Amino acid sequence: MYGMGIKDVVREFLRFRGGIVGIFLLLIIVGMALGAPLISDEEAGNRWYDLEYWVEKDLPKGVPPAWVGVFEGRSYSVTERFPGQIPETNRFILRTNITYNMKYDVPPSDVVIRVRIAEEANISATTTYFVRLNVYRPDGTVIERVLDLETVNRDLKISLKSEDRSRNAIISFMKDFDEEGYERIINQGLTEVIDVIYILFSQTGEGALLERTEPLKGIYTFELEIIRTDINLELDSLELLAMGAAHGVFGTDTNGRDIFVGIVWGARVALILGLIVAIVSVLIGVLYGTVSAYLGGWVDEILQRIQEFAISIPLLPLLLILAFYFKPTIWNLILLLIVFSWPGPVKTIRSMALQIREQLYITAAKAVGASTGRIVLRYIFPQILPYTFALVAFAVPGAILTEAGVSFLLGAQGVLEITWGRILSDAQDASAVLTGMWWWVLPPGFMIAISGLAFVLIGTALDRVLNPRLLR
Amino acid sequence: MGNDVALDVQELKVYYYTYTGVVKAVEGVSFKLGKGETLGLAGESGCGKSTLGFSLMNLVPPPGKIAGGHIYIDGMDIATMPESELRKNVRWKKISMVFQGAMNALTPVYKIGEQLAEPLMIHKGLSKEEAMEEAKNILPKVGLDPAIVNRYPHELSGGMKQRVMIAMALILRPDIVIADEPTTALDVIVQAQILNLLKSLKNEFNISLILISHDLSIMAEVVEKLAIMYAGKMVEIGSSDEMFADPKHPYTQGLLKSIPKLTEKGLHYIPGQPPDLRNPPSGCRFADRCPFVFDKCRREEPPMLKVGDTQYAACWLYE
Amino acid sequence: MALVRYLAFRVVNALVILFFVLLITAVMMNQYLEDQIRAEIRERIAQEVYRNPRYATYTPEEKDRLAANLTLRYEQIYGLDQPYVVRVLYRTVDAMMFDFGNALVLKSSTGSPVVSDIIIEAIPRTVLLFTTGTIITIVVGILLGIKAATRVGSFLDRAISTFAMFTYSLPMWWVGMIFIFYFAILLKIFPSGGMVSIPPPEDPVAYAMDVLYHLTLPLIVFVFVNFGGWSYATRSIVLNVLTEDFVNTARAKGVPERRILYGHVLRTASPPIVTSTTLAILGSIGGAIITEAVFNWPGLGRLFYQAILNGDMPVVIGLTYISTFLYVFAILALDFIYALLDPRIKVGFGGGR
Repeated sequence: MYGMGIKDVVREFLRFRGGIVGIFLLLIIVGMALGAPLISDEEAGNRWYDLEYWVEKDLPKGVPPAWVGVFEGRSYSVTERFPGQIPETNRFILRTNITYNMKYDVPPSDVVIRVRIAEEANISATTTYFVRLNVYRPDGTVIERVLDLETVNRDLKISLKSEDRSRNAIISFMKDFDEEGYERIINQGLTEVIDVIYILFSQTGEGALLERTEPLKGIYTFELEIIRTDINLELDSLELLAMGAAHGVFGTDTNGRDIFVGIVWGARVALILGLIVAIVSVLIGVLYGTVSAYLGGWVDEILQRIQEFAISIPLLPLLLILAFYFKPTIWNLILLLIVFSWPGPVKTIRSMALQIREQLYITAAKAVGASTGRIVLRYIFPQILPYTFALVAFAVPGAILTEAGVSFLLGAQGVLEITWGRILSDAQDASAVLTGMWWWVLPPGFMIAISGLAFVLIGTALDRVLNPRLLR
Repeated sequence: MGNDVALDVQELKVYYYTYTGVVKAVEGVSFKLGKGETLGLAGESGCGKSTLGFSLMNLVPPPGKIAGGHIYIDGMDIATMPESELRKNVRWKKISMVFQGAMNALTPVYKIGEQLAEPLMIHKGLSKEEAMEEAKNILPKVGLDPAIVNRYPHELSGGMKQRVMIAMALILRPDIVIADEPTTALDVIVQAQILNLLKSLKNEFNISLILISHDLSIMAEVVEKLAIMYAGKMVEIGSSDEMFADPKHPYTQGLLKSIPKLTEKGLHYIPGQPPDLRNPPSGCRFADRCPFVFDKCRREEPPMLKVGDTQYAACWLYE
Repeated sequence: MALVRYLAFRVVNALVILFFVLLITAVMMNQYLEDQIRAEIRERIAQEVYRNPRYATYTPEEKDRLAANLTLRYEQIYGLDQPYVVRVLYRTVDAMMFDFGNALVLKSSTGSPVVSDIIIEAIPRTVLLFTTGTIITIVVGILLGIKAATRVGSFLDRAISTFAMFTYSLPMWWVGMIFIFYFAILLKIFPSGGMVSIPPPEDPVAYAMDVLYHLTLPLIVFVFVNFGGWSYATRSIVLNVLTEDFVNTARAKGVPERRILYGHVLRTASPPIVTSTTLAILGSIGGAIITEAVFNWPGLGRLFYQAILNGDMPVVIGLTYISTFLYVFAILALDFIYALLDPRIKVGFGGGR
């Protein structure tokens, strides 16, 4: 390391392919962290846990990424909005037809009907109205009473997937064409679980209720009837939403959140937390080890016993219990991680410092009358400094992993920011693995691994370049 | 091969194939070692003497390899023998080595007794108990208490470890023993003890001994024949009496002059550096540092020329 | 004897640590229990004084005085009047006896709400998974590491190094999720979680096979994520040892390569391998805990997860103490193994006469 300027270090570093890959990966992550407000909109990031916001955004729920269709060679339906014509009439029954051309290989994931009642001064808020829906399919069949309800809701949003009556209507319809399937789902109690929207859009025939028939492409007519009980009740808007079967870069979760947003914003916490914890804890550990080695004697003994004690405390259980008792903020967590991480590098640094201490120039400095602080800071520390860079690099993945683990376990009881660990926690709670939502599970973990890998690669390259041969 | 020749080396070449080039560590060395004879192999660091020593057992560490020549022991050519045969029949049985025991030549995790017993168990098929008995018997011969069979190497002093190395080298009663820097890193008193031990053991066990060292002063004590190596070549060889009394090669002369004498003032040394063995010069390798250098030296390599009764020197001065 | 001295030292160290953790646990337990008791007392007082029709005619001051007296009486009954230190001491003794009271929500499989029952039931299951996994990891890791060291620069060597770097930052529990998805949900080869099928087989042999069947996937994940580090550490250390002089000595003696490698080299390399991987093993405990939650493996990890989810404080406290206890014990065991492997510790630093 002697006499190596910054330029030399950089040049040597670039010789290692691994280091270059590491820097490249790091740049991607930094790019995500810095560019989060640009790549995905700022609002989405800040309001990740505000479920109301996501409800408004009308994204399909729990669907895979948009590019899946390319690999499978099938076309996935996209989210489309169809406003309904509000009939000009004085009658109590308002009827409108909304047509939808289902031209995709994978039908929509949901159909949402939106009804807005105009604000009218002379209608009481408890005035009810009826909503009815019949679906005319391209093969000539009709599903009647898909919706048949009475409500006072002025801003009504109904997801056919979630409405029990709609589900039953669709199932009853298909029962006539697939009796065996019907028996099966009744016996196994699957009525809550099957994808009725897929059935709504699929061909009749054996196995239709088990989602085994092909989708029925063509024009669907949704006959919507609003029956008002008060003639003064006016409609503001009618809308039919066909929720796409795929969306975005990483799909959506069961709450309709764009997972890409979560991933991009999670980079901030990972980087900030990882770097701060790594840098501070390594600095503390290195200083601790150096001073302990230099002072020697019983001071060294005591300091080493303290370090051994500190390192023997199991990290995770204590972290969890502390996090549970005191609601953690991201900064508390960073502090805790530092407290648990600093003992790590002490032993190795101490043996390096011990070797340096025996060098003649240290004795010379002492003879000249230099103080302990000066010797440690000006003579010993600068020799160890290059090695600490590698240590910092290797410490980052550990911090990121630990935070991810804690966030995964604590979920909503953990830190409030978006972190990749928390996204995985949500996924686990929603049984994403069991229901096959790989797009929810793979990206966050992958990002954790990649960020860790970036620093490991950089650390390995740094180590090869800077590691003083003191220990050899 | 005559019956009184224990070792016959012919044109031996040992090269190291490294990333930066081929290092020609030993370049065409030939000599004979008689039965019961003691040969000293001297030269400065990096001249190839240790490599030569290792090559006699075909034990050159990678990336080194024997690149040419022959090594005849008992009618067998060690240089071309396959590894399995070497391991079974030659190593330690016919020829063994005394490493620098003061360093890390003994395995730290095995007891002394176990390490002494190992060759007996492998080569003579003795049981562990029998081998340990043998080990206990041989230790007094090197001046050690048999009780140390239960000790670990780190519990012994440098001199003790060296004696263990010697005992270990002799335990299979080989014909030839190579001692590689046996006294380096030992203090003077222990040095003397070890040298005396080597001398008496040589007679008792009737072995041919090759003593490798950079220290000419210990050669004078022990060896009958002395060979000087420089930059991978053997530059002079002869009886030690002849060599010390009348060194012929300029390098040998320089070496002998460099030994500090109490009666003289000032320190002699040979100026310059040995050549880079990846790119050895054509002609005599000592040319750059030789005080008697002339034209032919730089053009052609001198062969070994007879300069005395049993003395040969590779120098154009004696053409 | 040096060995005894070394071990005694390590045992004392472990006891000191345990004592501190014990203290902290006792304080927390105390805090928690007392909060409960005080809340109960308050509720009792409210019932017996403020809501009691018998005292309805009393003035507020009289009621307050009555309440205060009653409160004191209750505090005496529950021992809250004793000095803080004494109370904590009682908890400490409790903790030492592994008495953590009853759980709020959770129960053991036999229905017992006693915290130590719940925890003790879970311990062998974690040991089964973790210990088996560690042993397999060690064996595979060391064997591969040696192979890599003897073939430096070969494809195997570079592959192992790259693999080790890659798995260093993999969260074990996430890999668990992926493996479950691929092998259990997609390919349906393995069960997706739990330790036994529902209902579990009656026959003990079939039961054991069932457990093994459920153990396989988490075990594979455990080994997959961990053996890279072991291989890499082994490779580096063995490489260093291979350049030592005594290896050449052994070769010169005609010792077969195998014995040199697995005898001389491996034995010498073991102490530094143990040292460098001790921290890694202990570090992997955290990941293993979470992995249990992912696989629904009914060990300590999943228990922790459930306890926290349900806010079951007594279980959390008890778990923290017991897991620290096991952790310290594991460190002690590793120290012991290290001492056995390194003769310099075993016999002490002699120096010779």
